Amino acid sequence: MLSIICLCREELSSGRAPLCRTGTGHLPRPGSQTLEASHKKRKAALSQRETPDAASMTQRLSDSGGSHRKSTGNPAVFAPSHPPQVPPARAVPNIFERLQLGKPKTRRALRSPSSPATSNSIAKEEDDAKKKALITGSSGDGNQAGSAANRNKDVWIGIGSSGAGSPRKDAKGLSEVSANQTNHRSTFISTSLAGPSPRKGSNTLAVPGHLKMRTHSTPAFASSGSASVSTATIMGALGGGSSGSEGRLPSPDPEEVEADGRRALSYVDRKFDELMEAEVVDMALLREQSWGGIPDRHRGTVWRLLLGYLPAHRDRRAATLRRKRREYAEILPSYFNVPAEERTMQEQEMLRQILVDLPRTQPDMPLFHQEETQRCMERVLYLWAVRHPASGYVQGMNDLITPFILVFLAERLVHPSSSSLPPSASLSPPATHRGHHDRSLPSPTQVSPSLPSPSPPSSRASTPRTGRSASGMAAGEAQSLDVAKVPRQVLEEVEADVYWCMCKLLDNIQDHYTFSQPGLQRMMIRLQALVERHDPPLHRHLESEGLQYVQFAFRWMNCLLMRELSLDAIIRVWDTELAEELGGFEAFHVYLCAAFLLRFADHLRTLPFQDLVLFLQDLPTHSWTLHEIEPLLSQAHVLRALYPDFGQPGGARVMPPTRGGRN
Amino acid sequence: MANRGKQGAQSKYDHLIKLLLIGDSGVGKSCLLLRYSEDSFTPSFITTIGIDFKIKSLPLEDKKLKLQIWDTAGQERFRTITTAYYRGAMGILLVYDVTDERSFANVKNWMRQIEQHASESVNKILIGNKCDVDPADRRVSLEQGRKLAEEYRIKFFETSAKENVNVDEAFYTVARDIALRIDNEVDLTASGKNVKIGPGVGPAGGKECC
Repeated sequence: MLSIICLCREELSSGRAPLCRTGTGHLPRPGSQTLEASHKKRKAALSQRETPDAASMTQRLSDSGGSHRKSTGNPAVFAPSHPPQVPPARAVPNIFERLQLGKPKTRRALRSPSSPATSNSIAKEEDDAKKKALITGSSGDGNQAGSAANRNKDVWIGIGSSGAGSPRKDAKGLSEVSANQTNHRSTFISTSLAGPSPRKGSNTLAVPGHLKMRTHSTPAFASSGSASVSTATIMGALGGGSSGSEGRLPSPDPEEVEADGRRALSYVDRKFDELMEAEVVDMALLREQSWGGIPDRHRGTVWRLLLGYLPAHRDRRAATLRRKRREYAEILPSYFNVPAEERTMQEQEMLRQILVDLPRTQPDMPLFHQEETQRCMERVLYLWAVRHPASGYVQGMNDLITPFILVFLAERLVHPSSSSLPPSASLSPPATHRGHHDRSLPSPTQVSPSLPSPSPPSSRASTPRTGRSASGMAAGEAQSLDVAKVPRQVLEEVEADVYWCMCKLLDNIQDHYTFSQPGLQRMMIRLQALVERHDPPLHRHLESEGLQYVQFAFRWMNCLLMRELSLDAIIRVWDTELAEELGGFEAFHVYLCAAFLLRFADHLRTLPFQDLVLFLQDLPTHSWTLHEIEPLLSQAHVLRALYPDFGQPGGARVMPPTRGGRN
Repeated sequence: MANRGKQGAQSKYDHLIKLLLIGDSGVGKSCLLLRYSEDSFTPSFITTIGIDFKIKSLPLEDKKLKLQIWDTAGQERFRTITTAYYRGAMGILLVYDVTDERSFANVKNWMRQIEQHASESVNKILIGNKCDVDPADRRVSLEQGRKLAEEYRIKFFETSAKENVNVDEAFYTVARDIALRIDNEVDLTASGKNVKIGPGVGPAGGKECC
């Protein structure tokens, strides 16, 4: 603890530093006895200090009724390794309060329990959960990983701040790493690399003993991350997540957040602020930072940057946006406003298919069923399809467009004052974006569709939420943003951005959607090979039951898990997949799907064929929150570290392993 | 299609019937299946990607049938995936939408797919879904559907997943015909006779509605 405090002090005094200067470049090398000894020593020292904190956290869990968790899982998981010295019933300040009172100069002490910054610590804690999940196989009960998402952050910091070695691609000079982000990776890199090879016949990852640390419960904070999906906020504000997703990603206590008032000053936020303020964004660092989640108010711009839609040069962004938006407005009519009879058969068929699918897109989210949104999606999808005839429109693309719409709308309406948009690119002043005061239904634009609309516009007009809306997930609140009342210019800009980002996204994975979908076939082969390699018994079971991977994984690939996870969870997943430099939606996605499948390995092994298909096609994952998503991403990362050959872009290097498991 | 589902549960049913739903996108295949397997209907359905799967138990006289029903995506791009399921199917339900002339016109294309990919003895049934619609919205008459089915010598139903019209009947009919066919095949094999079994189960004669 002392060392950590010293470190933090030093960082504070330097006026810049991150909580821990981990960087994967500072991680312990496998077998580094000195470092391991150092960890053990530190861990031992820390363990004596942490028990009361653990008790307080456990207490907090019970105080809060565990409402932030779907399940606390086995209580034993949360039990500190030593009995608490303080009776649980006694009011014990939690670790944050303790630090705030007693160690005001630590960085952590500057945060309130509910501040997003705190969640960075929590995120670190979740890392332990991931480790735990990996150690325990992380399968079976669907809440296991979530319930295990607790750990000892101090030990973690100890690891992060004293290591050495550069495991993966992080030779990019990643020196400062956010608490929330690369930590996920770095810890797990060290976990995976330090451990022996996975044992045959087991789906667990071996983890060196010094990493098997205590787990503590931190229920109240675990989901309050700013760099996590507080798209819950967006959902509430924009009318997303009606019955389907409300409450899935628990928001931090609104009062705490509001009272805190320092949400925007969280560590991650500041980190992103710093990055985005740079004249030329350090893309490598941005990717590293984004891997662990992007703050809501930065997400729009960061996604654009990661996709290559915006240039890294700050000064060029506004001009680029203007140019691309103008270009979109110019090309759209030439493809869209043409008489039906002039369209080719293929074009007519694509348009028909799009119109059939749009009403079936995100059926639980009113936002996507308003007339304006439907027409926007229609234009974007159709334009993309006619300009990419090799693949054309393929069902599932209607799903892929929705995260962009949500994020870019939220950027303008929920976080209009954020630094996300270059000021000069905001063609309308933010004040008018709030939108509900001055407009009647906008008149059709130059890019209006030529086809009749299938459904009337929604008349539900809830007030768009503005500014920080941490409590946006309240049930029944803000069921629907009335898109018709959003200024037309904003909608047009959002639409253009959605289009160009869809282009960037699909450009990288276009052969997922061309004839016979070779990209998806390739990914399914990789997935199968990966599962066979990592968990032979599971693979053998699936095979002996006659289950084919295409029967469940095809949709995972085609829709990028959007049918399995809630939209807010997906947005968090995309933060990571977009942050992947190469093939996040292909190479990394295979590992993600493998982690996803392995999550249920124990249960799957007990099921006969029919139950397997039924279970896998309707997984209990729609209610997954960050508690499950973060460990999932981390396990995917571990799998990649262990089996780097299974996600190679290009497909040529993928070699399914031996078929020994066949029977 | 998996062939091993019967393992471990053989005693629970007499016949495992594998059915396949095909037809244009948006005609209501998934809704039919949801209505049949879970007796529910939702207007806010999502598109089927690749294939989907449901099971349903069905008593037939003194026997118990287990239906394994595969629902396919209608879009042509998924044909590579979906046609792999034709071969294992014992029965195919070809669905069109009575409000969508195009889906009806495409029936012949789907029949061609069946000829190419399914086993010769597969039982087929034609289904015109959404028969609950306002007559003004109807584009394909009952008579047109019946005629086409006769042409192909297959049974025909007009159904409504929404109003639960003829859904059970359609599935029951095809399942029963398959069970009878299987029983006949078994009998014939057992008695050593070498009689060829016709692929269909007689001309269109199913109950019709609407």
